[in-house]
Amino acid sequence: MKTCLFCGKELEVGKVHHESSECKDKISEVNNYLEKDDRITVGVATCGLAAGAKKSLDVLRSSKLSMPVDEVGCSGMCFNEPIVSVRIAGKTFIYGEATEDKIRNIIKTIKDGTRHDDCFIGEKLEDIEFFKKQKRVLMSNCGLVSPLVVEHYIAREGYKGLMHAVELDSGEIIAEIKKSGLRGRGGAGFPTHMKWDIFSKSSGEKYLVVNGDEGDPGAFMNRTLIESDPFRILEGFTIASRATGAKKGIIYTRAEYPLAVETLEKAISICEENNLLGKDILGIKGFDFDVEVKTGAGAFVCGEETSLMKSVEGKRGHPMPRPPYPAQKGILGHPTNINNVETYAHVANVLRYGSSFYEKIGVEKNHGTKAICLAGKVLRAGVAEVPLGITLREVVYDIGGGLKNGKKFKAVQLGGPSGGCIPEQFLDTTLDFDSVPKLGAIMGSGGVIVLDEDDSMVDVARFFLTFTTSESCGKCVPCREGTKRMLEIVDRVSKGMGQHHEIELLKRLAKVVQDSSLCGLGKSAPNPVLTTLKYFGKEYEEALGQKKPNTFMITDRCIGCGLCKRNCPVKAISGTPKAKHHIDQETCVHCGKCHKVCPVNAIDIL
Amino acid sequence: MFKKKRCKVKFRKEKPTVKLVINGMEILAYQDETIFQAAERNCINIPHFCYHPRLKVVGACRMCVVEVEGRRNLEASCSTPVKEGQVVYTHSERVIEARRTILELLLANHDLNCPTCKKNLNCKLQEYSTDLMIDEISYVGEMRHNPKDHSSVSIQRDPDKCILCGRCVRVCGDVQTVHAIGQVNRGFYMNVEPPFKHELSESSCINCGQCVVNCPVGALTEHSSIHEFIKELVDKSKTKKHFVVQVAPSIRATLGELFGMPAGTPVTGKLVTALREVGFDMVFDTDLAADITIVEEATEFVKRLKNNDNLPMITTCCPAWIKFGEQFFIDELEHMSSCRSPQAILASLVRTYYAEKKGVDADDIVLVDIMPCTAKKYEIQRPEFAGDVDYVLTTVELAKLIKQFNIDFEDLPDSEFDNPLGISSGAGAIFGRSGGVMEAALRTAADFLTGKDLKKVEYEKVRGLETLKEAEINIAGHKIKVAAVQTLGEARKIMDDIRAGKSPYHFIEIMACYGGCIGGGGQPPLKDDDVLVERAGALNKQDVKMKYRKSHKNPAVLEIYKEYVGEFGGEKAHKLLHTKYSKKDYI
Amino acid sequence: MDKKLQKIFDKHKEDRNTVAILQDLQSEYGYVPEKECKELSLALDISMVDMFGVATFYSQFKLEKEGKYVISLCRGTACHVNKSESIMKALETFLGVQECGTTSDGLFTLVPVNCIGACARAPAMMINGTVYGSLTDEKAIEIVKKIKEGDK
Repeated sequence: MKTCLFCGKELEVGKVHHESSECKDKISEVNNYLEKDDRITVGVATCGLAAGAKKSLDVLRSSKLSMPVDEVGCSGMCFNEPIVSVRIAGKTFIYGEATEDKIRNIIKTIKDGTRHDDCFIGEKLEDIEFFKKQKRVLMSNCGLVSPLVVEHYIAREGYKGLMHAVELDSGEIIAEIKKSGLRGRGGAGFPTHMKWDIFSKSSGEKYLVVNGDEGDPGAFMNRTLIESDPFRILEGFTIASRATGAKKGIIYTRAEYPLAVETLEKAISICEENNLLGKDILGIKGFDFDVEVKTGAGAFVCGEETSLMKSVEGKRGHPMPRPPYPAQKGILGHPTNINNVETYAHVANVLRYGSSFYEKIGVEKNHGTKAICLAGKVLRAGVAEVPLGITLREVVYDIGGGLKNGKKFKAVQLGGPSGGCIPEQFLDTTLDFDSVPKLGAIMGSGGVIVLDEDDSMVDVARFFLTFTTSESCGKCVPCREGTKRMLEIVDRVSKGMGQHHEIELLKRLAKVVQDSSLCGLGKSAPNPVLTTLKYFGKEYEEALGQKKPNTFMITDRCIGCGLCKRNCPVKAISGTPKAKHHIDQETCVHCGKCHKVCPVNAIDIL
Repeated sequence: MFKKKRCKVKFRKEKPTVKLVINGMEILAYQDETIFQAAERNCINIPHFCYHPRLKVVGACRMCVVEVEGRRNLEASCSTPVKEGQVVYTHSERVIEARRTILELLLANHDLNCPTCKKNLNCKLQEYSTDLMIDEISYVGEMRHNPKDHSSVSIQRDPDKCILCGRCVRVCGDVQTVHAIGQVNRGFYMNVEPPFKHELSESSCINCGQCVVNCPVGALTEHSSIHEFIKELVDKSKTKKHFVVQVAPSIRATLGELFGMPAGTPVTGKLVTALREVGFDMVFDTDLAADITIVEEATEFVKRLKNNDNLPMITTCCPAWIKFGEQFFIDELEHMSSCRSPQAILASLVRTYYAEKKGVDADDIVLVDIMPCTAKKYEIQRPEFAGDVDYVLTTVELAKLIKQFNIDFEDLPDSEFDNPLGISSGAGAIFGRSGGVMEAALRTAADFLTGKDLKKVEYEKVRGLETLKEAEINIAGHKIKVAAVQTLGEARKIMDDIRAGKSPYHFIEIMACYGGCIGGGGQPPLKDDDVLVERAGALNKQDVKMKYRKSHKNPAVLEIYKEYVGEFGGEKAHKLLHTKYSKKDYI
Repeated sequence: MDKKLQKIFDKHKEDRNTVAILQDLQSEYGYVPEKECKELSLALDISMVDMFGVATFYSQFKLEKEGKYVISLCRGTACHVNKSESIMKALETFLGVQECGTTSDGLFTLVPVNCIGACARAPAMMINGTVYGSLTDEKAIEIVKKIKEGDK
């Protein structure tokens, strides 16, 4: 930064603001604006917009109030969107579900300086049930600051981490990360410092990548973070560049997140204008870091490191065998280090607050917090930040408020298509990188989907298999062919047409797919099946033979075209051209293909 | 029970140093080897589809998975490096279960019409399924279905037989840089096809057939002309046609393999006898045409060298390379020799010189060419040569023809090629391997330039399996820099240099296939590169044994020129033996 | 090369990134057109096989023109357990198209997409970048109806 954002004077090398009283006053002015002054905020992240926040915002802005109306990100209470927070004379009223119609009533109370009871949910976040068990260090700005006002971020201790980092050398930064015990938040929980250590030792041109390809259905914490507090991610990313010597950065995110992409691009150009990215960052000669946003084009498998790199190169996202590891040979042959969005945000915090601060949160070997996404049949769905080691029960009942519509709990699905379903008896399991895998699930990116008594577990398995089958890249046989056959078996079972031996077959196949697939997608694709089989095997048994399989009969309408015969997968149909064909019921597997292909609808289902 | 395999290609001077245990047996591996390579060198064969030593390792088929102690999942041996102290099981129960399941999964999505498949009994999927005794397929369900593509005159595609190992795509893209076919769609619906749903004939395919020899199953096969040929042959007594066949130089070194003989067994005599048994009236040798090619090419080269005209000059025996040039280097075609390929030269002579001499109507001749190459099927359809050749059969097709005629190949007596197109020199013989055309041309060009009968006939520097072989030769005050190039990927680099005006060469040989014609797209499948060494060795041996080692000393050649063609490089020679090239469009 | 194509060429002549090129082609032409691909393929020395392979690998790319409004119905987990399938069926019936189909008036294309991250407001859909949450069959049809009327 050439000049200080707060006093306009020239800055010292390595600083984002002065320590002068003038600057300090200006900073506390900003903080007062954020936390004390009269002000209205409206959450306009994707979930808020989906609930109609834009209209509420328009109404507020057009009603000529005497205080500023700011657009902010998402505090995580997606279930209550649109969220409007009103502060008058030092008092804050947080309103939930403040849709266009309700906002008019709220406006009346604003003018009176009173509280509108109808959709009032609390005065402080900490008082709201949803937040009581949370530990907010990552998301402390979410829903409070204007995401694209860098002064807000800096006033709330932003870039303190980077200022600290530039005083250290590469080894010292990595040592600090090591001491904090930070593990990658993308899924497997690999220690971040180990990745960085190997990567920092490679020389020449190299790439740092933010993996924001949040493809798991049911996970949107990366989106929330990007949309609500993008500078924290960029600060962590810049610290990583300082620690590892990489001068090129790529933020890979999804095209399905248009708002997040826009926010990131704007945030990057703000950083570039203020010397927080680009050449000679903070005035330090040779501290260069260029960051660009790349959007994926819609392929879940690109969350896998090697296939992400292929996608960045513009190729088909086929994973590659390792070695060579990305740290040796990654994007365009250059060493590459990939971390999750959340991991980089944590890095900013570790350097800001010190490693000891992190050590104190969480349980052994699992330090710090994790953003999780609660969704499904839970009362309060949204993004929560929890200390690692919290129990699932606390997550579902204390944070999530239990189940919707008074239904009975059945399971939580953790980790999306690579994860598993965990039944009630394990609800006291702690949420961390070591305990969850023991149950056959994974932390994944942190999606927690609550299922109730109405949900069929066979259907859940079928749902995830449908997902992995359509997202399999097709490169390796076990995943390409295996997931498809697993899906077909589960599909038959869920329709009540499964046969007894097929359950055994499913288990055997699942094991091989897990054991021999090339990448993480294939290796973990059987998890939803294996965990539901393990914990809800009864549901499979019950679904078996529930319905007698359809019997297909060829009627006299048959014209003898032979289409059914050619399409029968088990060659159960015989007949000569132009004469009526016949199905051998012994051989028939009741797949119904003949019925589908018959051009004259000559095949009846009995 | 484990004999150390003698590998010519893989042999190294240094000692292996990494100690690991495979199946309880301690073995030594080289630092840069994978488990697969170390096992293979120690006679432990691991089944595989997608791995090929000369192609990029992709680890796609997962057939080569092995159990490595301390690793949670099975590892693909093709992509896992060896490590000191590693304990590996290549055939444990867990591994076999995985391989069996993979085979079952592949079979469940495969049209199982084996008896009508061209690769029947020569198919890896079939082989492994038999070995692992897959007697039942547990999985039923949707099958991938894509239309067959018979549009190309050289290669047929049947996607329903494809197991998506990607070898064809890698050889076409990475090795040949042609990119005619690629993987499209993803997941279960992935397929290998030309871009934007076009047919192969409209694509940039140069018909080299490397995809065919690399396909472990029957998804890519040569476009066979056997049936049409047999039909015509059967009618011989009625039509009174005169059946003539020519045999390319490399066939005699490879055909034996298809009858169970070791690689590199020369079968020239039996081959000629077998063709007579099939019913050919005349069996001619393309080697002779190769000699004529050399005489013409050397004449052209000497002229260009003296006038410093369009150098480097590039050989044009390989029809795949010609189409490659016509598609991608249309601005550099003047570098190509105008000389026809040996196949086209012999065909031209059969229809003119031979027909006249024999007193048969040229139209009454049925000419069949036995070629190592699928691109030759394309070459005979080029408008410049239209009608000269009736059928091209590849080595693989010839073996099938011989079997169809119930000829006991191994026990056949030897016989000689027919005259007047049957006598050849050693120079013609080596045409079948990479570097051979260059070596043969140098023998003649050197004599032409010096006006002497030089003793030196062997140019070792242009031999071998490197994709680019260079040599610098001093002849009569000329410093001639030559290169022998194999694979079109290498050719592309050379051509890019020429385009950029920085090519150091005067004379370049380009062959599309690795190894030259002995590794052609119509040849028997290659087990490993040692086979190529053996095949080349057979041709070199034939060369050494020959009475004449230089093309322009071949008496048959001299007689043809004297009787019919006239001068080397003369007007009639140009009419009969040279051609022109033109731009070829592709999608 | 026309102007639109020239722009894409200039932008990518250095990086020659196929995904980015196709993204630009699609946003310019509404789909990935073969003729333009061929021109760029020759100009940038990217094979057509790569172009087509990438275009068919990623679900974002369309090989045919899409409707003016693209209804991306989320098929994420939260939406699934909240009955997004039923909304798909309702919209299919209302629009008279199948999954991934485009209405005959060229107005709407209906596609299922992976999680759009609006799980807390499941089931959700996105129409040309705008997210609509907490849908029911009726609500979804209502939204589409309004857009249709607004377009007239």
